[in-house]
Amino acid sequence: MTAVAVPRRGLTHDIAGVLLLAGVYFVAARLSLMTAYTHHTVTALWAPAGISLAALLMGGRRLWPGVFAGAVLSYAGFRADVAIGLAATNTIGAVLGAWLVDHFANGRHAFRRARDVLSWTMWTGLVASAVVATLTVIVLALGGDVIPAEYDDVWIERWLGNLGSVLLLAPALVLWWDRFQLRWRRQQVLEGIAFLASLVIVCGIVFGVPFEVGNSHDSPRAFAFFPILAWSAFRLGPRATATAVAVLAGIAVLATLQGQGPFALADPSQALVLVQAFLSTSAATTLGVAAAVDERQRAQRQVAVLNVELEQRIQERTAALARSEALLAEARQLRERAEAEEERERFLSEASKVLGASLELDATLHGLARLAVPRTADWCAIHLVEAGGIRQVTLAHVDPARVKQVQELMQRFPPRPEQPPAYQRVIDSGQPILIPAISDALLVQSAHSPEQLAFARSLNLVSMMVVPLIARGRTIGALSFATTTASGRHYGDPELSLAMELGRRVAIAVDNTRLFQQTQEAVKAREDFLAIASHELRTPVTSLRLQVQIVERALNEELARARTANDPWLLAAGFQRVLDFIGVLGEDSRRLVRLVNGLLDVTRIATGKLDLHLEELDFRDIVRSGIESVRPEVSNRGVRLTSRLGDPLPGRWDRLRLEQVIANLLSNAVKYGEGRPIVVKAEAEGPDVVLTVQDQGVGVDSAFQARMFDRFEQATHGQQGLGLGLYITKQIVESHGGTISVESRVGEGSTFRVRLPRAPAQTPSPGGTGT
Amino acid sequence: MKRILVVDDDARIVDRLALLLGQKYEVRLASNGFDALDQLDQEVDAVLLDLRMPGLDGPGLVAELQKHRIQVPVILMSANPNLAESARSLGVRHYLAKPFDIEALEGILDRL
Repeated sequence: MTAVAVPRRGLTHDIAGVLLLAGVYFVAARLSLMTAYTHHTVTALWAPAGISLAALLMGGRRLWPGVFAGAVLSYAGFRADVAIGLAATNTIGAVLGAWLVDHFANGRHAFRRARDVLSWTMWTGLVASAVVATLTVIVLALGGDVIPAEYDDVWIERWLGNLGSVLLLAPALVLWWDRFQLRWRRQQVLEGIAFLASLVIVCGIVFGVPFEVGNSHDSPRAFAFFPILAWSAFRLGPRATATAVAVLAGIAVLATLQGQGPFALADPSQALVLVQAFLSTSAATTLGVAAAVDERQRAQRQVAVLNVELEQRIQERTAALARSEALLAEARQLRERAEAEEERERFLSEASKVLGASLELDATLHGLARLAVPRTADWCAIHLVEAGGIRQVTLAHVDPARVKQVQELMQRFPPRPEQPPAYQRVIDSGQPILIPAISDALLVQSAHSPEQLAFARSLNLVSMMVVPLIARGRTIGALSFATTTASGRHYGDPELSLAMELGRRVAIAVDNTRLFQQTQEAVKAREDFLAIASHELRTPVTSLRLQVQIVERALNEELARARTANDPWLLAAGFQRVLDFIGVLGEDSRRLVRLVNGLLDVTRIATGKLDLHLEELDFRDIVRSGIESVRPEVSNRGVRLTSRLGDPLPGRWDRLRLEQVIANLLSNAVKYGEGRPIVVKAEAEGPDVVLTVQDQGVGVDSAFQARMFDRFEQATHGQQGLGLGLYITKQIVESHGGTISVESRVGEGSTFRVRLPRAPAQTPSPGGTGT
Repeated sequence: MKRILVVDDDARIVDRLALLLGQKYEVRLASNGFDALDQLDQEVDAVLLDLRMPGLDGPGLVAELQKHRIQVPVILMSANPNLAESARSLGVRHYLAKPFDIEALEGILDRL
């Protein structure tokens, strides 16, 4: 439970106050009445008025019984009705005065504003005192204590007495009651002491109290107080001023009563009036000034405080403004970044659309380069790695005419091998190049002639970046972007990452296009092969069937003849005829089998299934068998075939396959040999065996030499067979780890050379070559 | 007896056709278009013509015949799958896809 201190303003407190007030009032009254000159009840020095006013103002008007009691006591010795009447008058005056101060002079704060001081002076000083004076005269008149001739004197004395006390005593009492503590800095304390000393000196000068300084009856000396009072009013505040006024008043009155000072007149009551008047006027004005000064100081302090507050608020507002500006800037930045991001995404999606639109490589890349310019670059170039080297597939700029111009100039200045251009370096390293700002020094460094430098400068390049095109782990080209002074853009990391992403997509598109092209070519090759194969197989099948029909008819004829004839020799001759025909059929079917086997070999080679059955052999035997297999062709054409087989040539080979090789080479030699002699040689050369087949026939031109080992290549059109002979021969030789080559000149014949190791190395089966 | 000119660069086919047709018809042989043109100085009743030949090939010979306004029935033979189209574009009515039966050929020859 929290205990709140509640001021115990209760009856006890009030009763104590009343009693205290009564006591003080009585004492002050008694002292004051000692100076009653005009009338025994009236004095120009009525201290109790100020005391009672201060008490009722600060302690509350309900303390009025104290005033009344005190007044009654002080008028003891007077007639009862007069005493009570006077007491009532005093009470009324005090209460009225306090009420007037509360209502017109800002109550207890009356000395804080100049106009309140004025109000105090007027209402309590002049008006309330007038009321008191009037009531006093009435009471005394009713009580018969005063004669009409004395009315004005009594009134004035009473008035002045009240007024003086209210103006000279009450302010000090009120201000000290309001704030009793002395909170002065050292400087102020020193000043206060100085002031006090000066006050004492001035009192001495003017009143000879506490010590005499010259002739004190010089009335102008009284004005010496004004500087002192002014000092206190301007520098020491209302409370000190009120105190000074009270002290001064006290001394002045005392001195005057003692007949000292400029106010000391023969008539003491007159002197008191004079001194009261002087003091009251000075007090009123001085207190007013003090209040004004205090007011202004307070106003200044308030202004200072308000200034500080204002300053603070301004700072707060400024800070808040700065914060919201920062937030705005941040928001703007975020939005810009988002927009840039969006633009990048849009560009990438459009680029993907372009890349995916067609499988026509060059057209697609042209389209992509045109999309990039001028959106992301002023120049865009794409280079691809191809069989013959690096090709610039496309170069784009906003102005197509400029593109042509630049391309022509670029041809004039081809890149030098010791200073590879950026796209070359990117392709070699697989790493991108970013140059945010192209300096002239860079151009100078990479130029290899003054003309080329001038050309490079004329492009007004500002910034460039080159990214690799990487597909399936291989760098297949480069994508270059450059800006000129037209856009003034500088490339940085965000642009580079966009370019890298674009490069990825382009590489995938290019790779896909190429794979598709390769697939199409392979499919076409297969289709061509199948077409050729089926076409070529039909011809031998045709002749085979015709021979079958020949056999059928011959058999029918011979059967018919056999039925009628009796001659066994005729019969035998008939059978022989049919058998001869069947023999030809046998040859036909053997030929057909060879053709089909050739086709099967080709497919086996393509799928990597050309298996070799190796055995230890003498190469000379293989040559001899090969020669035997072509003996019919050789003797039919009447060609002279010479073989030169020297020392034994042992090794490990596939007998059937190598016989196939030799047969193929000899068969070609017969076909294209123009009937001239053919020489076959087999000899050792180092660790290898070398077979040579030489003819003196038509020869082969160098263009065909490059192609002749490919599939379906035939020297002349319409030859029987599928053009597979040399292709298969080469595959067989290579799967033994050997090589085959030809030397030939048109019109002079050809020499085929086959080099074979004694045992094949573990080569993987050939297949898929030429993809 | 009807006279048939057989034109094909494949000697075996030519020989066998000659053997098979030789009993019912008078068969003349040529191994290419030029050879055939020479033979066509003498009258024939039909020309059996292979499409693919070195020198003057089938279509070439047909063009030559049309140019010289030699009116003689032509029967085209080929292993080519587009034989029907080629025949149509050459304006030749009769064609035989290789391999064919001799009876088919004889059927066409009889109807000529």
